[in-house]
Amino acid sequence: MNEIEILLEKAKVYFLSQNYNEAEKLFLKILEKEPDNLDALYHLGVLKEVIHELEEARKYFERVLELDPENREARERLDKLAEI
Amino acid sequence: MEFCVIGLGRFGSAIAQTLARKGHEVLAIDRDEGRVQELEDKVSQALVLDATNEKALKSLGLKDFDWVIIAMSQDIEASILSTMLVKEAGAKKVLAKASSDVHAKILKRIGADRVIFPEREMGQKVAESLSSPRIFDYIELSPEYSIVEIVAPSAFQGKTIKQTEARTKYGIHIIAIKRKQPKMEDEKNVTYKDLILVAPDPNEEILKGDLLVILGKIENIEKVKELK
Repeated sequence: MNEIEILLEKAKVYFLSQNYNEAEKLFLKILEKEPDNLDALYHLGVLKEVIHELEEARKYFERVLELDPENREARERLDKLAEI
Repeated sequence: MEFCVIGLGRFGSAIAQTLARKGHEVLAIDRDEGRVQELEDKVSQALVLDATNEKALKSLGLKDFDWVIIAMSQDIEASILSTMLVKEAGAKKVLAKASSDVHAKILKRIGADRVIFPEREMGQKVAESLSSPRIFDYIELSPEYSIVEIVAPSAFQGKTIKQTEARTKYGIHIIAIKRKQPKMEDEKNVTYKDLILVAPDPNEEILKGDLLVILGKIENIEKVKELK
């Protein structure tokens, strides 16, 4: 596991344990090192959805789709957000 | 339960299909053959029939239905006439869709048990949610009281319901909490499931991102909305 992978795992653990502030910090730290990290961008989108910052969530999913237009998960999330 | 839906425009056909999907017996009626055909496979029975025709309506045995829904509202005359006729035919309960206040008044006067304004109600909800992004849903109970769904203000986060002093200080009741609970979707991705805690325990802690369904006087709800 490289450093990014370790950070990602840690961030997901924080996310799962509902420690959203710490999770967000770590996901952002990953983006500082790798601004196009799809995993971090996608999970930040999901996290923003969970804490009801829906505009922010939308931006992260749109960024994922810019980088990977075929990304099915991000597309589904965005479609769902448009219904709210 | 058994329902009869009269008028199969967008509103009526949505009602008919949703009730049928939920496993209810639904008789769907319209005078337009095309609309009836579209619903044929989706409800228990679909009939081409003019609901302002007294004889035709009486042949339906409306007494046996739990609810008769008069879903057309553009043609006010037809809506009023069929509401009256279905009541006369012995329908137990009638719900009618109104297009204006005067229309609603007449419908009530002639015996509609419930009158609704879908456009107006939807309009209020959309206006509430656009003008206050923290409001997600809104139900007016009376001019004084309403139920709204708001994102938990920071001032409430990390506190139990009791500690928020929602009732004693703000005069509102938290009647439910809607929460997105993170979980693993597969080995790689985190997703969430939607939880609803109805009538939550006073010791339940409010988390960041919780949606609170609150009931109270509108002026008190406004105060809570202003909390950071």
